[in-house]
Amino acid sequence: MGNPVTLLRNISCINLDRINQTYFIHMITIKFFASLREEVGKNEVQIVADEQLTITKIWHQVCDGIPLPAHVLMAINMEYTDSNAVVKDGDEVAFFPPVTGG
Amino acid sequence: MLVKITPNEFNPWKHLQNHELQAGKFGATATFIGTMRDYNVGDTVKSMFLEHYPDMTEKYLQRISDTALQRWDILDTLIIHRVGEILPGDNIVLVAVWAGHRGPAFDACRFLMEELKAKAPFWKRETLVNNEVRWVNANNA
Repeated sequence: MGNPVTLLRNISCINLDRINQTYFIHMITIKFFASLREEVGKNEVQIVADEQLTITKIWHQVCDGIPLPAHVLMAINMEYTDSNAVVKDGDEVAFFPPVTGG
Repeated sequence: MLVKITPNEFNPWKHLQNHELQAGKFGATATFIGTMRDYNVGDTVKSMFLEHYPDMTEKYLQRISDTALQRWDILDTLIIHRVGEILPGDNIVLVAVWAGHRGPAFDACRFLMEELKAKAPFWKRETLVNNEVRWVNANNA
């Protein structure tokens, strides 16, 4: 089995754009960094969603019941965002702990 | 404006020398250099690993450089930040601002450094002399 969107693209009679519009098939990449990556035990995962998801919903879908820590920072497509933001097809979501550079 | 992330040791003085604008065009150069200490919260630190979020880091540093160039009367900015495995004494970050006068140069340099510390996606993981490994979870002023 390949990923569902690739499989759909390979069926020439189906207009994928229309399917995306009608049934909300969203491919989303989720990345975790630093100590948070170790806490959730994941580096990067991809999900296919059939509904519009907020960042909070994505966390709960991917992190197996681990509560979303209050201090966690989040980004969509490398721009800071908040937990209520809605994710679109093709977006890259990132979760990470407070930064400590410099 | 230049933003550079490097896994290699760098000499900030050499970068400053190479980056300087044409003589006579600027009157002030404000710089900040951050260097790795061999101690942290009472423990001796042997080495440190600097993780970052590739592309988001560069994007964020470019954005704050743009903001500084718009907000202050300055001529140019430079940010170099180390990633990967580093040792005590290694330089971690260089922030430099060139301007006609010291006021905007100091202010913009401080702004860039504070914004970098607050939001640029870097994370430090240090190894102590007893080989304990821990994430640094606070940014001191």
